[in-house]
Amino acid sequence: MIQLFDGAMGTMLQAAGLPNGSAPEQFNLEHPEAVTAIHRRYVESGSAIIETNTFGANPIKLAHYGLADQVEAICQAAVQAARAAGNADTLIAGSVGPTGKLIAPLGDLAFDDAYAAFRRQIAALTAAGVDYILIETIIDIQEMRAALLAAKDVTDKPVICQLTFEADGRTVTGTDPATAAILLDAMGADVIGANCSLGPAQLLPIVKAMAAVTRKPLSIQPNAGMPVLVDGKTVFPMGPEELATWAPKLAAAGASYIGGCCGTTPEHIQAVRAALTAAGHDVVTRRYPTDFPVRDLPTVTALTSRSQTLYLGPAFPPVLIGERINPTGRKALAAEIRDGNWLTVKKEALGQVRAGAQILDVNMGVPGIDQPAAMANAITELSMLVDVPLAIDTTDAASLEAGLKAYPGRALVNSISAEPDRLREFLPLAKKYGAAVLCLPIAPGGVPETAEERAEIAQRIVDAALAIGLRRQDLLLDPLVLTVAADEQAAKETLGTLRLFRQRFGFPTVMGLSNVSFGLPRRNLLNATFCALALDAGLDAPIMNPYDEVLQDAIAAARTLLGHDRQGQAYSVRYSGWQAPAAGTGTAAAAAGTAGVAVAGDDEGADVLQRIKRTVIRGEKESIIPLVQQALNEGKAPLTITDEGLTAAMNEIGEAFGAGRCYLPQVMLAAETMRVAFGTLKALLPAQAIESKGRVLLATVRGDIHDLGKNIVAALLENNGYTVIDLGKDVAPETIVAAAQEHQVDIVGLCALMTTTLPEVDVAIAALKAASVPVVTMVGGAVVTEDYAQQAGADGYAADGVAAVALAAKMLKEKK
Amino acid sequence: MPMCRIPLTTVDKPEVRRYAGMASANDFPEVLLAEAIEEGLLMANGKATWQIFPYDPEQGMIVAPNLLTLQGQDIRKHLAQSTEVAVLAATIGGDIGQAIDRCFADGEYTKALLLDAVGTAAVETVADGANRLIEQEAARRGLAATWRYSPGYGDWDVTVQPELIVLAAGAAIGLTVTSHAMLKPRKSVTALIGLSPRKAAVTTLDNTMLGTPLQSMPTTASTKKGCTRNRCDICGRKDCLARKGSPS
Repeated sequence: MIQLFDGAMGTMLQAAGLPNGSAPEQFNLEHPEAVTAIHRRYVESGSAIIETNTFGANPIKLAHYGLADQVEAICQAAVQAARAAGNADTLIAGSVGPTGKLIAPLGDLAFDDAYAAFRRQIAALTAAGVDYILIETIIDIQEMRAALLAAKDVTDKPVICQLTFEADGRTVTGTDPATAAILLDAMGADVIGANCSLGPAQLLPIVKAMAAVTRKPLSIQPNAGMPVLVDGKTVFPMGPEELATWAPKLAAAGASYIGGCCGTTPEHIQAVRAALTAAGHDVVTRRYPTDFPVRDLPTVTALTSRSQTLYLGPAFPPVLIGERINPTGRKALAAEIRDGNWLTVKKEALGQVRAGAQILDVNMGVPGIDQPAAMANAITELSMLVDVPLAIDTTDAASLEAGLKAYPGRALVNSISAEPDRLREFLPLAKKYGAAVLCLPIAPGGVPETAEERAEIAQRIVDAALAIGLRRQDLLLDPLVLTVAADEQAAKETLGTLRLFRQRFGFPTVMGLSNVSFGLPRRNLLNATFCALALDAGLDAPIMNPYDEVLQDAIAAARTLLGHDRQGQAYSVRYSGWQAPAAGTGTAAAAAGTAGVAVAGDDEGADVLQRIKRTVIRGEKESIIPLVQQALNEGKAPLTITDEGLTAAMNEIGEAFGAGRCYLPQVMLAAETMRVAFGTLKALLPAQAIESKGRVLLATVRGDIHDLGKNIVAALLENNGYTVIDLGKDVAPETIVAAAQEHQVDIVGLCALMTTTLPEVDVAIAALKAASVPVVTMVGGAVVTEDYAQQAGADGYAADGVAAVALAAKMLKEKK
Repeated sequence: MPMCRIPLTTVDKPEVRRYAGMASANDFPEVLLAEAIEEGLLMANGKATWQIFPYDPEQGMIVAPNLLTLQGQDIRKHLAQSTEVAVLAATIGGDIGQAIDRCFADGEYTKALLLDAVGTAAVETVADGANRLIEQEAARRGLAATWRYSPGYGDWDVTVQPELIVLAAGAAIGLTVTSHAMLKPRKSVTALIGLSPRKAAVTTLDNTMLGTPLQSMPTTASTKKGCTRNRCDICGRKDCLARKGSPS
């Protein structure tokens, strides 16, 4: 059964005399008869639902034309114009288009301002007597959320939510159709769909993706193909017959509302109607039909971020929820949150995701702060940084709402107990924002001990949730984890509760592990074992510390043993080649490799200088200190250590770099190791000055603010035994001359990155010469060449940092 | 003037390796790279701004309130078919530059080098994201976009930066330009994207693109189209460590 919409309005308005640059919505006031005439043509072509000429009738858009105060008048006139065109059965959809601005943090429009704009327009359309609210052509899920929330607050009409997707199958701001459909379904959209931007061919897979995740009717309004520009005009090339051939395919894929967007005409709609009827579809003209074919979908629980969907439940592998964004017991983190500094929060987010967390729990429970503001800020920052869904962990209703409002996805509410306040305040918020709910079976009067008592309380929460309109797929259960040190049966009771929950409810289960081991040593072993047992008993998502390797190991093993890892593949990938860590081995050292230099062989028993050399080449900072100490203990002179160990290593790695066998970051690792070695020598033998090979002044020339190359040269020279006077970047020639004289340097090295600063090299060299400073000069930098260096009067040119070290050595040798 | 923050949830690791001059190194500790990317993302604040103006390809002129005639054969060739140009400015802000300086001062040279590479990859990712928005907006009007062309490519002199910053309204995202035509903060880019009427061959734009797996965020899932083509082709620096396809 299909409800047929109309086609494009804008092009027909232009044909009817809409002047360029004026608001199409103003036509409702000035030429209602022309608007009615367009609507009538669509009604005559078979449209069951016609869309009002109010696409841009929100106060933000109308303000561009100085019409912000005309929202109500325009909506009223538009609905009247549509009514005048229809017959008794014609339904009117109030068109609500985008504000044209991106919502913060992507853009600068506040979510609340977008909400207010939509609210005003939708209220006006409702008052004017529309049959549907049609939110359409929305490119950003946050804008759609603002509009849908507004609609739910001010209208009792069915709400159709149509997003616009791009050729890569996502909205401009990154949401895929399934993720959008899951979220909008949960938020209470009555019909979900897509329009504009794409032709029917590109919209077909979008319909399919939505049909696979929601039972709600789907609405699709394609453009007449992808636009081309002909003689300065945007033209949609697809004719009525071609568009019509796609309509039965869209219907078969799951669309029950079909219409046309840009470039479609009454002829297109007529052809679509004919094609649908010919294909055996019942094209109806009926008020709010509800007997659309029901798609047979399993009831599954899903969370979403802006760009991803995550499924939870018995049919899916266990999901890790990262618990680290929580200031409880973490003074430094609490202080940062209090100061509005999100660095650690963001670090924890990235770190946990890297460690395998698939949901991040966010708790802002710092006493005495504005917790709703902190929650909104944290959720906003995290939604810009990670793609995984978030769980909002709070006991404060205002914080919960602030977090839910800010989140461009379907979050998990962690958690709702059976306490009356919680049920009354939290459940409606979850419903409003389309969140899923973790039910915590705690009721007034204490913590229930037995599985049966917990199931009974859980039932009360579930009943209350379903009563206010939440759905079964919105609910998750927490079995309660108590401390085994206080009650030796506590863990068993939790496991029993998990089994009972699975049997009685079948909802996904979530629980924090760590309570179980409180007060006992080696807590992570207990947590890990408990987790493995719980996964077998029916736990779907442990809330845990993702950095805990013992726990991660247990989960990897349990996943495999419980049949979530086909042929043990994931396990094999994770652990093949794994070796038990030997005591005292630096992991970085083991990972560092050999930096393209042959350093094979067993280090044990080798000469200490050889081992120093190898350690520098490998860039093993941690290992170099004891080796330097050992060399001194063995009576090696500092100069010997420097020459035969450290410098020899840098020479070797420099050669390897020159030959393309190793790379700059590896050279820098070696230099860092050298630095540590020099530091150790200086610390152990403060009295013995380590002889400098020479004094080099370095500067990036005047006007040049890019100093990466110069910094690399400085690091390499310094750690090859030179004394470096680094003047930094954007250095005036007179400063260079003065410093060269003051520090009595042997070499001046100058660096320039761009063509605009290249001439400053000449100026600096000329200044040094004019002042007769007794130095040699070397130059380098991205745009500097050997030829240019010569022309500029430099004594040498270095293509890179390694070459600069070699050049410095050569220059000093010649000077002496 | 569109201005937006671009989410940065990841940067392309191979690109970071390339900018760090080790595209083909296979024995560098992955963990250092991963840590640098993570730290870089923490400090990056991706923002972009752009304005679209009519363009006269005959005269190589951007028809803005302050007319700008483009100097350079390569950029004019690039825009030969264009009737409009989008002038784009993108940045990740200055925090990462300060962190790089601190790392050098503290002797963490490798991290400095890697962070610098992350910063470069990140600002390109932000520019890709804005590029995508511009392309999509253009496609809606039946226009096709050229790939992104920045001052310094080919024979287009970087001294045009001050004019581009004004045209792109770069001040809105905190961009300034020095007396020597360098952008501040350092990890910033400007570019032109030419827009031209799309040819009528629309049948090729079927759902072939939808067959590819859905990527993550728009910016991080850089559309492997015009905006990410190999710009090394037009650069004369054959010995650059970051050159694509450079010998290992």
